[in-house]
Amino acid sequence: MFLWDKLPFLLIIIILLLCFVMPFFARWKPVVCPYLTVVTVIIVFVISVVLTFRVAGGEVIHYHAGDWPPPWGIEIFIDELAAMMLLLLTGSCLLIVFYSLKALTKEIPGPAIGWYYTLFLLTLASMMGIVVTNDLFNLYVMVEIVSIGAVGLVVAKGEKLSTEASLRYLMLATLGSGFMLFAIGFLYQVTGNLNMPYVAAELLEVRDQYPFLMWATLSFFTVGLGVKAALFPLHIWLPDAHSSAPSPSSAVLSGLVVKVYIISMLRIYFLVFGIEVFNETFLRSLILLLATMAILGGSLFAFVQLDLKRRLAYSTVAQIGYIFLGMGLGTVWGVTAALLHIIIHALMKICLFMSAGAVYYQTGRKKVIHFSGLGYQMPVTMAAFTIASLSMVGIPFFGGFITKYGLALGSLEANNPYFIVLIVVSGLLNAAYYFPIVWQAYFTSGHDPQMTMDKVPFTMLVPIIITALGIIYMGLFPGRILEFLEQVSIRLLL
Amino acid sequence: MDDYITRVVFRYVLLFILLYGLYIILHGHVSPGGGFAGGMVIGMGLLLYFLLFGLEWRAKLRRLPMDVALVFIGLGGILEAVKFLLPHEHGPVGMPGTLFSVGIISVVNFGIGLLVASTILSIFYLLVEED
Repeated sequence: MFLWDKLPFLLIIIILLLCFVMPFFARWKPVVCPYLTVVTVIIVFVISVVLTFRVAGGEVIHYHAGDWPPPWGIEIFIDELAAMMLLLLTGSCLLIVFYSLKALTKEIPGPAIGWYYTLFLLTLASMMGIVVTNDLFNLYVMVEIVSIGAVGLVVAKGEKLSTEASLRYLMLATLGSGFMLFAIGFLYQVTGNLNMPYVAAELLEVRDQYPFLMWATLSFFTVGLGVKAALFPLHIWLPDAHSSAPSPSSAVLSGLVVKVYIISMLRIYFLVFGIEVFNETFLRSLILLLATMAILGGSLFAFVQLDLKRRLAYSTVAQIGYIFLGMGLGTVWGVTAALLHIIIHALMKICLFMSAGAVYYQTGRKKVIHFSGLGYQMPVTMAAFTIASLSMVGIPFFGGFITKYGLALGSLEANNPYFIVLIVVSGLLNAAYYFPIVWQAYFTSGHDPQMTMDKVPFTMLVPIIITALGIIYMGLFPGRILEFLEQVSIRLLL
Repeated sequence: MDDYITRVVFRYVLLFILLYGLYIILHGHVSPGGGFAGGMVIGMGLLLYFLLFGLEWRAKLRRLPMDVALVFIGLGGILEAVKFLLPHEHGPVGMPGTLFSVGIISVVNFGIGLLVASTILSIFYLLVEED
């Protein structure tokens, strides 16, 4: 009973505890570290499944850390959105941990592996903290920890390129946190509260007295979280960081880390400030403009990259644009599509980066032009890659199609039918840079193709297959999850 | 460091530095300071000690502070984690304003102090190992 009440908090504290204990093992028994991580992530996954069932039963979980009630203490708050994100985070991290058991041995130096898992757990714990916290300052602390952990995940490779990229990432992320701290300070000055519902209630009364402060606060939040979520002109750290990191970290960074900032942005815009402020301050137009630039610019940049992981990283910039587009539309369908794209893009990007890592593991190839004939050497990996690419382009029966359809409906709902053109054009651009890889892998082999199985360990192959199946499942049976997300977005936009 | 005055003076000052750090940690709830500040003082004191006298040690022993620090990071982390799980009214609570009045919070402050001191030591040793 004691633990049952503490379950939401155990979720985070177990992992943080392991982060403190892990250096001990990293120093004396590095062999244990990966298995310890696997066990921890499995425990956390089970806990988040239990919590999801509790939330699905109609319960909204409030937990007060140390029994201090909300206006003073830290409150942990798990609603449907948080439960969905928890399930996504822990589930994907479980797959990535299984994948990284073998993949890391080729990508980072041996002594660093124990420390790598420490940082991995730190990143996972603080991502979950961002999702479940209901306190603005706690949010800031968690954002800082994610930045540190994510930078550590990039620098773990120890090469010149990744060190440079992580330094740039560190600087920009710190800048973003600074902006966020300013915004939180302003809000605290005006409302005297840090708990999000209390801040929202106070803001309703005082926001007309401080019009300029509202502008400043909102723009600080937009820039601060926008840097971290890689909104288009602020994305400059992303391609280097995501492409030079080891592939499991690329999967975490690209699939999950940038998304949790978007979740907190959604909460701050729609729950703290409310949709009226969002519309009145022209923030909506700004986000729509930046999202358009992101979708077109990211795709065009991706088009000219020759390194596969770099191409995937620029594709992330474009896909983040989709999520922001849905958010900026501000209608039920738009936000639903944005939330759905958070899930589906996580699946797709994790699948793609894992496949890229598997190709590197077996053949050592990184460049796109060296992919010819790979479809016959690594049939399973390349099949998963093809599924994810088709989904990226938005072919029906794959997950990506559903979000594009949702975004199109959302733009009709918002009386902005031009965005349908944008979605179609970006689909074509996606096809232009994903299909050549697939084409090369299957149809341009110099000599006569010899069909062999992948020589990749089982633990790397299974996560790739699971994510690919997840993409197909999302594309074929999106009904229940769309219904669920529609409820969530109606509640957000209320 | 091969400086006679520093070595002689520091041999006696070290005790006071550690004592002062402990004082700040234990009075965390009644006066400014607390686990972080006190741990910083203790960590700096130990760091100065290893800077001054560490070179005389055998090469095998020079890694020892780092290893001990790693163990203590784990211990401090466990103490910290327990704090969040317990309700805020627990343990022996005495007269407000006196030294032993807040139950487990003193213990937790001590955990923070351990963590900070060990972290400083391990950061220093990691940087030393780089070159």
